[in-house]
Order: sequence, then C-alpha cells, then structure tokens
Amino acid sequence: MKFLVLIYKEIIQFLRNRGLLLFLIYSFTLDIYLAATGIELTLKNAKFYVQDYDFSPLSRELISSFPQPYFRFKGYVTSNKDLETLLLENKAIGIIRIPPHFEEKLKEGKSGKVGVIVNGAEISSSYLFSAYAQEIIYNFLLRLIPVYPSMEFGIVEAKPRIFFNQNASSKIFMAYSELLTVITLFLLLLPASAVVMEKERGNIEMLMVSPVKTHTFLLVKAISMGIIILLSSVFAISVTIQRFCSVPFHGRVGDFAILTAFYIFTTVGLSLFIASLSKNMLQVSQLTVLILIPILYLSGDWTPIETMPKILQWLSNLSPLKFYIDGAYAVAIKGLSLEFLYKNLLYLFLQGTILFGLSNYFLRKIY
Amino acid sequence: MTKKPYAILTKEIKELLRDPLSLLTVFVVPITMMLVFGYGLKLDIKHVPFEIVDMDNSHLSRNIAAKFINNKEYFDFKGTKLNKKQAEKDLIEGKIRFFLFFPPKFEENFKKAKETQLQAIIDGSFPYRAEVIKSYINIITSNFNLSKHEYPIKISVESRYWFNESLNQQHLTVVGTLALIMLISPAVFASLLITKEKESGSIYNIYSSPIKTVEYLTGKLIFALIIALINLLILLCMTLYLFKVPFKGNWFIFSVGSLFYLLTAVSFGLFLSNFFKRQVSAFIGSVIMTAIPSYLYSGYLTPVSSMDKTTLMISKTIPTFYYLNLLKDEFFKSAPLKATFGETATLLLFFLTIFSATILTFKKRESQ
Repeated sequence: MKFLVLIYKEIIQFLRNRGLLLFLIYSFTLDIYLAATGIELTLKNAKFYVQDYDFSPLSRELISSFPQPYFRFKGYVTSNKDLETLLLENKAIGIIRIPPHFEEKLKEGKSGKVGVIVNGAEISSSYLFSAYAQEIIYNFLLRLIPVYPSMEFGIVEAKPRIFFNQNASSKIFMAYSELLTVITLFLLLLPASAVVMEKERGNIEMLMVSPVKTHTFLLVKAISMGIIILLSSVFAISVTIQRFCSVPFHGRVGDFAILTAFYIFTTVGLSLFIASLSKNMLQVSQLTVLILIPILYLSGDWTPIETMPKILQWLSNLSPLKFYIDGAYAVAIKGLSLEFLYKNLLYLFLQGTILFGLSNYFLRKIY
Repeated sequence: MTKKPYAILTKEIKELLRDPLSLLTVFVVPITMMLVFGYGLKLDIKHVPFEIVDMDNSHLSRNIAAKFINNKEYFDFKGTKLNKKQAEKDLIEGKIRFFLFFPPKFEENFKKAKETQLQAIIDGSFPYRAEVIKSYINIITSNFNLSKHEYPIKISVESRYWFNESLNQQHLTVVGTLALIMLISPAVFASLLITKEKESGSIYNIYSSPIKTVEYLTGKLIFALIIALINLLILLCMTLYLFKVPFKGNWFIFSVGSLFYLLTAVSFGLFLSNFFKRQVSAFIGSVIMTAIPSYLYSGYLTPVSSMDKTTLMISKTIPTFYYLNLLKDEFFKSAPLKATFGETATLLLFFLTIFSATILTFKKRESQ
C-alpha cells in the first residue's frame, strides 16, 4: 500500500512538470517521425557533373546509365577551375571524368581510365558515390560485351538479397534507432534527476528519517519512471512508428515491452547509481553524459563491434544498450520471439542487479 | 555599466572553483566525448565478416570465392558452411554480415553461356552498410566477368577524393564532433546557470537588486563563454595534434566564426532557462533541443545531399549546419574569404536574435 502511494506521488509529480512532459511527448512522437521520414542514409539525388573529353554517343550513354533517384545529372563542366568551384561550394558530390578517345579505346581494347572525382568532405555520401559510380561504370562496360561475337562464356551475375530490410530502407532503420536513443536518453535522465531533485530540495533527509527504507525509495523512483517510459515506448511502437511512419513491426509488441522492461531495470539502476554519487544537477548532467557516451559507442549501434579493437569488443559486454539493441532489432525487424533472447534478458538482469546494489550502498553511505 | 556584469562573472567563477567535481566534469566531459566519437565512429566499411556456401564446388566457384577471400582489406572470410540454413543462422545472430551462395550447376551453366547467378545474402539491419557491401560484391563480380572474356575491355575506373585525399572518414567525424560538442556542452552549461538560482532562491536577490536584465544576462553570458572558449581550445588541440586533422584555411575566419557559434550556443542555453523553473527540465530540455537536431540535421553523420526539401529546411534553422560547413571550408577546402562570409554572418545573426529574445523573455520578477 505504502508502495502504491509513493508510486502515485512520483507519477503525479512528473505529470505536473509541464516542460518535461512536453519533451517526453515530443521525443516519442514528432522527433521519431522527423528522423524516420526526413533522414536518408543512403545515396539520394546525388548531384554530379561530367567532364567529357570524348563526347561520343557511348560516353553519353554511360552518363545516362546513372539512375535516378540515386543520382542527378546536373550538366557538363569543361575547365578544372569550374570543377573546383563546384566541389568547393557543395554544388556537386562528384564529377565523372571521361578520357579522350574513350569509345575508340574501348573498341580497340586499349587501356584507359574513367575518373570519379569525389568531394571527400561529405560524410558517407562520398563513400557511397564512389562505390555506386564504380559499380555502374563496370556494369555498363559489361553490358557492352554481348556486342562482340567472340563470346563463348556466360556471365556471372551477382544477385544480392538484403535480409530483414529488403530495400535497405533508411526509414526503418532511423525509426527504430531514434526510438532506442530516445528511450536510453530518458531512462538515464529521469530517475537520476528525480533523486537529485529530492536531494537539492532537502526532501531526502525527510525520507531518510521516515519509515521508508532507502531501497524502497529507490525502487519507487525506478518503477514509476520505468512505467512512464514503458508506456511511451509502447505508444511509439504502435502509433508513431507503425501508423504515422508506416514502418512495419514484425514481432509481438508484448515481447518488445518485456525486453524494454528488462532494459529499463538495468538503465534505471545505472541512473540511480549516478544520482547516488552526485550532489547537484550540474554533476548529474555531466556524469550522465560521461556514462551515456561509452554506452552508446560500445553498443555497436553506430559502428559494428567486429571493427573495434579486441579489448573494446570484450568491454562491449558491459554496455546494456548492446543487449537491448540486439534484442530490439531482433524483435522489431527480424520478427524473432523472446525465447531466442534469453541470453540478452539474463545479461540485462545481471547488470541491473549489480547497479542497484551499488547505488543502494552509496546512497546509504552518504547519509 | 561594466561593473555589474563583472560582479556576476566573478561570483560565478568563485562558485565553480568551490565545486571541484563540477569543475572537473565541465572539462572532462567534452574531452571524453571527443575521444570516444573520434576514435569510435568508424564509417569506413572494411573487414566485413562473411561466409561461403558452395553447392557447386567447381573450379569456377572456387575461383570467384578466392576473389572475395583474398580481398583482405574489405572482407574477412569466416569459413564455409554446408548449407544455406547454417549460414542464415549466423547471419541472424549477427556473426556475419553476408554470405555468398553458389547454386548447383553453377559452372555448367556458365560454360553453356547462360546467365549464372551467384547469390549474396546481406544483413540489412544497417542500410548504409548493406548498400556499400552490395556495391562491393557487384564490383568484384563485374571485374571478374570483364577479365574472363576473350575480347578484353581495359577501361578501368579510378576514384579520387578532393579535400580529403585518402577519404579518411575519421577526419570528418572528428571535425563534426567538435561542432556538435561545442553546441551541446555550452548550451547545457548555460541552461543550468539561471535555473540553479531559481531553485536555490538566490534569484530573488537579483529580482530586488538594481541590476538591469541586460547586465545580469551579459555577466552570465561572458562566464559561460569563457568556459566554452577553454573547451574549444582543448578540443581544437586534440583535433590538430591527436587526430592529426590538417588545417588548410584561415585562422582569423575560424576564430570569428567559432566565437559567434559559441555565443549562439550559450545564449540558447540562457534562453531556454527562461522557460524552466527546475534544473532537471532545463537539463533535459537543452540536451534534447541541441543534441538531437544537431546530430540529425547538420550533416554530421547523415548526408545533407540526400535530404529532401522539408528536411533541408529544418537543417537551415540549425546553427551547427552553418558552423560545420565553415569548419569543412577551413579544415579541408581552404576556401576563400568570400565563400565563408555567408556562414559567419548567419552565425552572428543567430546570436543576435537568440540573445535579444533572451533579454525580452527574461522576467525580472516572479511569474505566477
């Protein structure tokens, strides 16, 4: 009973803080929507110019084989100076340079080089532009082969199939990635702030002398903030992501909620641990960021774990986000059910228990 | 006129010096962010783990497989599997990013001059990575085809990168991280400066004192700016000497642009604190309103060139978008003065608008 009253108090207290409520609503709706619909991670409308020293039918055919909406042909460029200005002013991602006597050289089997000049100061699109352009040019050359009668072998065609996300759609990825980021951000911020608020206002002394035990106090904070975030994320999955963004969700929402609950347990533990160490909001804010960043990094959300140095690969097992992301993608995109994820749940539970123990210890030690 | 802001400034400095943990974290946090993002964000796609399922086991299939296996820069061969099921299991569990599947009669079909299909199953959880891997696979097979034919085509493709000759993505992420941190960190710091006083009640001293709003806010602004400048200097040294990003531009333009940017960040934090009574809300608010937009819309990790019109419009309301462009101009492009004028002027405009709005919305009495 005491428990329920305290949870009720926490939730009321949260709802009265209008600024916070507004941010919560914004983050779980509009923010996810904007990220999912507006951000494209693959190449789209990449503007390019052509420096054509050949001007043959074949060179023009090559240029027309750059498909929309990935590429957008903007025109021809003649001098190197114009080329530099275009790249300098971000008017183009790249330039395709076709060598003199391109058609002739091709037919006579002489060697020549098609140049792809890329604006290296553009993140990721420079990489994609270079890879796509090479792919397109080689495919173009390959299509010319049947013209020659001497052909006696077939052609090996690569048939790539992309699993889980057939069109490699940025929308699906951005929607879930943004949701997980928002969940983590709020999980770390809310409980820590809730505890420090009591400390700063002096309420904590009252709690210490009251019959409410430290661990009950912590647990109540954790549970009430957890409930708020859990409800928000279920809402985000079923309304924001599925309805507004029309991104498919392959698993069961219940499975996702259970996984999220475990993750909440761990992260709230971490958040309370931060709170037990700090004395004011400035410290909470700085420590939160300090801890959030390695967690994000080690989760492998941005950079695949296999590319990390061995020691970091090992350390990545300390990041609760790693197990959560793994599991969340498995449920949402791959459509797996929970029984495949018992390992993730176990890890999250273990990390959470340790963190709760530590924060309980530190909070009691101070007072 | 200058005396009162100065008093506010000295008071803030003393207060911070008395709180060593806060003092430490104010500088340690940006450094840690820089280290983690600078070393950690790897957008280069190399050493991709993969497996092979060869149902044909012919000269041809082994020949093609070798092309992938020997390309150690881009691929990391994890072994062969007997059937598709086993490889799919590894793919689902995230042990590999893709596998190649050679169907039966692969070579036979090839010799009959039929089209022969080599399947590549790719993990699509990360679209950017999946797309690049797909391109790699196509480039390798195309090259194989071109080399196999009697009538040789000797045209090759050569990629060259301007401004960033080795297409070092780390240089880009480091400069981007610098821009991002120098918005988030000053804004969060400044947003707590006034809400802190609201919570402790010391703001009543300000309400009842003869100090003018402008003087009070200027004092806070200068204090936060000093902290931000020290941080910028630290991060700049890390960029130049630790990450070894070459600086090709003009130091004067860089300094002026950076000053305006930091002023924008600090005044945005102060502006936000006008609307919050609690530090908790100010903190969460300033993190969400700086970190998420600047991360998504500035061209930091998401390419600006691929954005649609609406998104591009959002981008243009975010100071980081302009500052990052300025940094790219100065670090990579050695752009002429004319080219950077627009960005510098926009940043100044941001600062003047936001700081005026802060002065206008600051209420020198308790609002009910």
